[in-house]
Amino acid sequence: MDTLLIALHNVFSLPGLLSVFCGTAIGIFVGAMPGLGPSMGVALLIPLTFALSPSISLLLLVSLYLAAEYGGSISAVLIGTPGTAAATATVMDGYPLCRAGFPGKALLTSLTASTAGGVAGGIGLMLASQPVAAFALRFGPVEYCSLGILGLAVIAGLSGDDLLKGLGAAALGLVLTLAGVDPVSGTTRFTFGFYELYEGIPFLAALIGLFAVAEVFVMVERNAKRSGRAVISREVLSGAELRHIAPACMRGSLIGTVVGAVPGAGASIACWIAYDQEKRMTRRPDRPFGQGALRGIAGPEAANSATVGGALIPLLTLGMPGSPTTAVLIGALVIHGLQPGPKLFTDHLDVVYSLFAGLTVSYAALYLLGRLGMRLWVGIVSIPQAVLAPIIFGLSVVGAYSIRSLTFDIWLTLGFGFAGYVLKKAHFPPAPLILAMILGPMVESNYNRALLMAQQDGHLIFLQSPLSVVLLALAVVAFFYPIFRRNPDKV
Amino acid sequence: MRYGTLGVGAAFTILAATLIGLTVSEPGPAVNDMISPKRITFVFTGLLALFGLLLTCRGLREIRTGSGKTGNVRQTDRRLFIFMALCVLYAAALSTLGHFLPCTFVLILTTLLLLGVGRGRAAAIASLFSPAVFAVFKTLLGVPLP
Repeated sequence: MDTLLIALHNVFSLPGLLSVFCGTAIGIFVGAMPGLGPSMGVALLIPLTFALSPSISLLLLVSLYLAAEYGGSISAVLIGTPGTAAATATVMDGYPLCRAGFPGKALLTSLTASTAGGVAGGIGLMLASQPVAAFALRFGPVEYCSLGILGLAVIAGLSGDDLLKGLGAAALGLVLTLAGVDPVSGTTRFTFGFYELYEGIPFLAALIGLFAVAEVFVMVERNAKRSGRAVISREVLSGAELRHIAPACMRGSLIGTVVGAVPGAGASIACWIAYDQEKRMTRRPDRPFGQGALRGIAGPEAANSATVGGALIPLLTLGMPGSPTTAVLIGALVIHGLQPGPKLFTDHLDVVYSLFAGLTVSYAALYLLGRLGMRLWVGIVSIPQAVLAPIIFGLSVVGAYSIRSLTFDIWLTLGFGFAGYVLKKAHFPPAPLILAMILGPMVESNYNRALLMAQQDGHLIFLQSPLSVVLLALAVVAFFYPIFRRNPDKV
Repeated sequence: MRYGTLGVGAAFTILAATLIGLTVSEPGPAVNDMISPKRITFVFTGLLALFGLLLTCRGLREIRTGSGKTGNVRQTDRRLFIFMALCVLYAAALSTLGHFLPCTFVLILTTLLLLGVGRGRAAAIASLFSPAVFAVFKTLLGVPLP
């Protein structure tokens, strides 16, 4: 009870409320700008959270994450370019509705569905996380190693339409985690005489380089003077329209929460499943699908916002990121001295409860800011990328430097930026690389601990725990399923 | 980027081969020791070598059949190379000279002009951005900027 009161005090204090509202505003901004996105937004904001308490920092970053999923729909509706990958399905009906002269109605549908989806995802998180965390307390090094292997196996699902390139990026991520001092034997690996690498490659420098600096290079190359122009009219959703989209919101929320909780799936998959469901289940749409159907906007938007709550379940309870943004959030938690996993629910329950309470406020903030600032957000999509690119680069450099106050990290960020740009141009997905950088140390340290425990049994210890066997079997299925599902020529 | 897959695949293979070579030549516990750090090193670098080789093969096949994704932007972009050079110069200046404020001002101004933003607007943005970042990070967050 005391912990709950502390959490409520954290959230309803001035810094708590400010962080939720600021996070929401920044989230809508980064979501609405094509090319930016929740991962880049969270990565760039982490350095600004150093002075904040862990609870307030987490509130700020999660509010940003949630709002960015809605923000992506603004440019999808107004200029037909999704601001985030999760808003791709919203273009199908949002843009035609805007072209038909109802941009306000399209945005309101998206906002209402996003808020409903966010609430549903949050409820899912609150209901599921404590039982999962209690179960995960039984995990030892053997199970954690197997869980890490499962996480690496599901990376195949994050590889977009090119499995081999995704696996290559993941392998690079694993190799990057080898730099530094080995925690068990104490020997140094691949530091090349740089003492700055003794603690390994700083995760945030890699993140900022791969997500922000690489994107800046693409912006400079594209040199779009304007992202697009949009105007908005005064429109409202009638009671009948709200009743019409309600079932789509519920279905989308359920799909989003479940899909979000599956590592490797994520919002970009959930939105298409939800869109497909709406097309199948809507017998009498207000407009044909593809020509501005409200349920075609509501379903995917509810789904992509609900994935936020879903994705936080494996992150908080198992320490396993399911998407690039949750991988970035793990980096933020670690920087603030919190280790995501079941112990978070025993050692830092105030942080968990603050997040739960903060989420309820962030839904209200999302609806309020989304509704009141609609004209402002519409203006955002008109900001020229030529202006944004150098500003993002400047923030990236300062952000990377501020982690350890070492200019070495600026060079690292630049290096990752160049590498990220080349990988982007060659159509390599960055998400598997980032996830592998999180899961690599988890697998290695628990593998070594498990072998120390095993003594004579050696690797058989991984088959002596039923839970480990189940996780490894799931890893085999998760790895081979996409291979058999796809065209064999692609592999 | 027609040669993208081939180039990245070859780079992965060379990187993996170099790291495997370094691991083999370094003294330390043998790979078959119970907790040899070399074991995981070999697994991870081996995976990189494997996928690097597969990507190289695919890249060669794509070039032969002309089926590689070519991308939808210009392959050579002078503006981008100039910007990249500016970034390197900026990092070098911060490392050697320090002086965050003037360095950042010059970088932002030059980049904005390079990207075709008007002189007045570019100067205004650069003059606002650099002190604002300095104030937030140095004053509010206490980061000792160079």
